[in-house]
Amino acid sequence: MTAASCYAEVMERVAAYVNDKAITLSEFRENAQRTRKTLADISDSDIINSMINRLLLLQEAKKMRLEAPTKDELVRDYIDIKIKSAIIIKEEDIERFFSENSAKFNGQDYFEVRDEIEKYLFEREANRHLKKHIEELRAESDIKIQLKASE
Amino acid sequence: MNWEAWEETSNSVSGSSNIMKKILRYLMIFIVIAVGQLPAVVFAVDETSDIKTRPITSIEVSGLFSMSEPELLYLLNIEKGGVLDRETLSDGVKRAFLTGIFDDIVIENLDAAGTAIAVRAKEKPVISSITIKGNSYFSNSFVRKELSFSSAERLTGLKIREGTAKLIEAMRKGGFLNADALSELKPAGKNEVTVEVIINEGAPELIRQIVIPAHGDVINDFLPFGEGSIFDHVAMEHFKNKVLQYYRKKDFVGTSLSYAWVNGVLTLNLDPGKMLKVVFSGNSALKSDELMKEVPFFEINEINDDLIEETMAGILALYRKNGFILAQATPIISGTPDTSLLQIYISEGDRYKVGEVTIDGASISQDRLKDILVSKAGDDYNPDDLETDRSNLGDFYHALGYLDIEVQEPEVMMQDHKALIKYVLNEKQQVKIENIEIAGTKNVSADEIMKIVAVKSGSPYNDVDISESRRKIIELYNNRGFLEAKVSVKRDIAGAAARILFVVSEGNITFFGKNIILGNDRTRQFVIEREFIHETSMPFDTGKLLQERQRLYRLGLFSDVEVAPSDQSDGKRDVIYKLREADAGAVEFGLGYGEFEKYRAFLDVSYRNIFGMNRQASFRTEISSIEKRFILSYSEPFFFIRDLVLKSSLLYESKKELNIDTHKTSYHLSRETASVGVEKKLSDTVKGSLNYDFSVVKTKDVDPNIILSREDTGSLIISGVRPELIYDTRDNPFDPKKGVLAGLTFKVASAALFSQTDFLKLQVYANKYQSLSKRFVVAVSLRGGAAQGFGDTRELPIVERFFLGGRTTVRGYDQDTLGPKAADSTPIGGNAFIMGNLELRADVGRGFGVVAFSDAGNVWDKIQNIDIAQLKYTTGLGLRYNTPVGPLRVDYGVKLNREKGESFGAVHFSVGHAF
Repeated sequence: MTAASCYAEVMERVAAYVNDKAITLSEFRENAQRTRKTLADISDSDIINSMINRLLLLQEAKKMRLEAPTKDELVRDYIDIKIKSAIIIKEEDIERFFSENSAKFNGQDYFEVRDEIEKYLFEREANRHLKKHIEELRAESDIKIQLKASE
Repeated sequence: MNWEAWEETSNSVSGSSNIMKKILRYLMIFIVIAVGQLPAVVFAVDETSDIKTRPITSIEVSGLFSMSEPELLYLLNIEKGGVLDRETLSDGVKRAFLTGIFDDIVIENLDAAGTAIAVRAKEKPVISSITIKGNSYFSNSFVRKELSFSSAERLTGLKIREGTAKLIEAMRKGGFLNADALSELKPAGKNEVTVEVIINEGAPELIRQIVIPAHGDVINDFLPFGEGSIFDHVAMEHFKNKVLQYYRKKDFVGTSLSYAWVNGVLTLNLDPGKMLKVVFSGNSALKSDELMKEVPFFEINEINDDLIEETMAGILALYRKNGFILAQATPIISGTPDTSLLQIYISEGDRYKVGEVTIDGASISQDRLKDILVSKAGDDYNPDDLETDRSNLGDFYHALGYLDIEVQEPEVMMQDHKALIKYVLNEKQQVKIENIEIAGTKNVSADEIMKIVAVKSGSPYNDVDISESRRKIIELYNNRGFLEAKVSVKRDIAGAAARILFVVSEGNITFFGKNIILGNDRTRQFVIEREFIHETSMPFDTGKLLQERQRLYRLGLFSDVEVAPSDQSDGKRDVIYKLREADAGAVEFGLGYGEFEKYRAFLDVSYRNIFGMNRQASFRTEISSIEKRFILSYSEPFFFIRDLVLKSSLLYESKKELNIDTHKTSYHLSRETASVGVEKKLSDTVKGSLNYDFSVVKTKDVDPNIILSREDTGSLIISGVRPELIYDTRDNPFDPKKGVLAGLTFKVASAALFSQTDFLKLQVYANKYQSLSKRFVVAVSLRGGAAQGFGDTRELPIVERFFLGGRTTVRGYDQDTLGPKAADSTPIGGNAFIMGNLELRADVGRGFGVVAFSDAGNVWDKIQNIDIAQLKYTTGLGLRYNTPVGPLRVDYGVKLNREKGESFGAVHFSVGHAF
């Protein structure tokens, strides 16, 4: 074996795929670099999984024929339409939250914190629904992660 | 940390706002992880270091089984001499991955200088076989049906997972509650796997005891299992449906059947509900059967006050539709614990018709306005239509530029059971377009845009036309590669004048990228690519993609063609062609019986994708008691250039002509013909062809009475050329519903072509198909022909003469029996013919059709002897059964001007329409 044939650098490969869409190694590296500027400790596994989830949501958005100037806005629009539009926070849930956690509000009046509680409960519910929706999408998709630790 | 944990540990909080900010920040982080969505500022960081090779000198490819190296390198956009960068590599890998073949594609740099590249592909394995083990109750075919994968498919984790889960669910529903299955993969040959499905059925749920508290007689009639049987949940559902249907047929509503399944004891609780009788009284204009269509109780299996109210509303609406505007319906429900009686008392009242309709204040003609109204004089008067008509008038005026039109509520006066309807309009002023301008154009001239704009200066202002114009402008730009083109419309309406400005934002131009072809397992890639009318780097044009889709369908190789552009990358869009190959081979056969021909059979074997190159070959044989014919044909659809088809055939025919009365043989004829020719598509609807035919015809045992010329006996060589022109706009060549098929064929045989006979022969035909409704099609055909010998030839040889009568010409007459006859009544054909056919084709459902037809035609010995008065007319009925290659048909035709001694009619069997 010559010295030249021993040299082999992976320039590109499929890091993961979702059905017939590939996430390439270079895309993963680029995404990891960006993400770690905000979340330094995030693992490779979390990054590739978040890319898979994003791809799944983009595919669903396209199925709904949604259009947006950028892919991020498309994902955001999809979440708004598919997930957030179906969430209703009832007044009694806000009141219950306030009464169960009243000690932590330092004696503030219900109406002073009502909107913020509603926003919190809404986001919590949106996350719950989104997580469930992503789990469903993943279950019905052909997903494979073939990223190795060295890459 | 989750919210609950935070709640427990956080004791000192300065304010609720801070709490919420923390909470929301936490949630934002979750979304980042879940969706990979980051705030814009995070996206704006510096780029990763870029890969850049030197010009590539060597490329090593490995791991390919079902794609050629050039095909993969084309998709990857890698070529010798090229330079690779990160984006090209990433796009290439993603593009190749779309084919669905690959599990991984690794591109390696083999030397530090970046001049040697290795492409290591890993294809998804193909399932070579599926073995099933461990099943005893469930059959192998049951297991295979439930698995959603089959052999010869590419293996994916999803298919195995879903198929196995589906099988487990089906077995559990089938009464084996603990059933389980496992699919194991074993390597088998090159890039193939065997799937071994290992089943553990477990113990079934056995019915120890069946408890039926009531209605045992009905339940036992339908119950599919008894004590000791396996409790099959699927059979249980079928059983429930059957019981519900049984009671529905007996006019019961509120039927319910539930079951309890505890420790092997199956308890079936049936509540038949109540028998419901619905009785109408007082109705005479509308029959009870018609009114029953408005009754939903049996369909819904329920009756309640709301449904009764809805039913009454439906009945009254039906009456109003029929002019009974004062009709009333009163429901009274009574009955016993087991039966209900719904009596609906109808008071129909008088029937009202629409009398005179007047429209006051209209400058447009009354007739034109009345045309758009639903309520027309003489119709049944329905007050429900008044609002529709008022709205129609408003919309109509609006479309003519009367933007402020006022249509008052109609005045209705009842007089002698007639409704006199009066609409009063206040038209106000008509707005007309004074000026149209286009702004923002750079790459398409404003003049070109103005040509496609539907609105014109001086025409009435109409929003629909303006929207249509906007759509057309966007379409024009899209077809020129400007896929992001946007057009906004500015309207300036001042008094009666409107100024329209179309503002175009062209956006960037997009070009065609690579072609990604999927699903062509048998068909060679270049066969598909040669149908493309776009080239890489042409401006992207969706119109071209539509044309390419049609061209691919026309090859006849694909049952499904999906053409979709992929995401844009670097100003280019790849195009993905998803194909589903149809069966390329076909075997057709048929049997028939006719009074004259006796038995008749045909067999046709064809294959239209030889070597995956769309080359077509077929062998057809037709045999009857008087005729044998064998045809071997071959065609090459791409003969050096696009749309030039090479066609060739070999024919052997042996025919015995019988005297129609005595059934004695008049002559024996055999013919061997070799034909070769080319066919060129001249436009979407016109094609021309040029063929050369060489025939050796042998005629023997000829009755001296029918010999017209020296060519009619012995051996004869006929050599001639045959140009043809065809105009075809049919929607479906096998079963046309609309369009025209017309053509002209000319044949010349001459000694100059080594023919032993010289003649000219011309045939023309024109068929028109028109759909009358969804189920009816009318088809008309006119055909004619004329021939003339020259040189030493006075009469054409018998094989070249025209004959009529039979399944595709004049039905009611036996095959080839019309026209000039010898002294013993044997048909001898002629040099001229005229024929016409008319068919009314009705689709009666389930693939069957009925045809009423009328044919007319005759053959004359010479052109100058044609006499329309001698046309023979027939009529008849036929039955059709649709197949992919046209309908199987049987026709019976009756002679309308029967001569003495002629039969009443004839039966004809065939495949395909008569014309």
